[in-house]
Amino acid sequence: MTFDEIYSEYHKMVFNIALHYVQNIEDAEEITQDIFVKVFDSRGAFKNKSTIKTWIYRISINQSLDFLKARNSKQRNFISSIFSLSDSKILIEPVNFNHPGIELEHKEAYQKIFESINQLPDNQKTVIILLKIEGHTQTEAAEIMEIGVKALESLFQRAKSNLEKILTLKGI
Amino acid sequence: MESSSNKDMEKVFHYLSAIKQVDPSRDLYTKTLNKLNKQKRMPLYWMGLAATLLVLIISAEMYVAYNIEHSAGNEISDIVYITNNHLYNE
Repeated sequence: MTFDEIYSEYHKMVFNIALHYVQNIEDAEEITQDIFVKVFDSRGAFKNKSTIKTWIYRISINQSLDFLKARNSKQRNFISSIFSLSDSKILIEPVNFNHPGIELEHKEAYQKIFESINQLPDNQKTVIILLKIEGHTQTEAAEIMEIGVKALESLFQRAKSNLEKILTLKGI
Repeated sequence: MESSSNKDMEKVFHYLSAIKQVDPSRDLYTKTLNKLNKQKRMPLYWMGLAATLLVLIISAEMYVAYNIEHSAGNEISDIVYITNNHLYNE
């Protein structure tokens, strides 16, 4: 497959995954560019063990999580250097919430839900995004995350329970 | 209590499933292509830098070797006293 073919087939999927992680267009576009550079550079490493779609999905998830880690650590260092706070006391929120896929009339509710999802550990965040936003089946999500269906089920239960606790604390 | 919290979570998940897929901007393709081309040029840059460093190292080696050779000659001339074989008393 040429770059153009891969891009035209998967750019929408990749952009939307990134968007669910960062919730703003600018960052999602930056991540999308990085994902396609990575896909093109490491196309030789694709071993046909999974479908190309699943492979691109994994790269997209990892790149989005790496982007968030890098951004959060930058913000954390900046804040802790100014206020002399320990890392655990600093809560990082998205730079600006601007998810174009949501209904604007419920923007406030969506913002609170995403703020809560952002506080979950990486794999719990991913399982919520794959099952509840992207609408994958458990089998598909398990394949993307390279875990068994049983492990995915229990991961989802933990994610759901933690999300519920965070939302309750936020008064939702 | 449990069922009401389940209901709340169902509502949250309903919100999440209602999120629409969106198209990225049209210039994202050009931006991505530019980034990819920039990335391709990087190895050439590093290869050029490595070649320059190699030439510099070889030149420095040659310079040092040349100087040692010449300074070694000087040292011998300092140690070995060369005479013209003239005896002044003759």
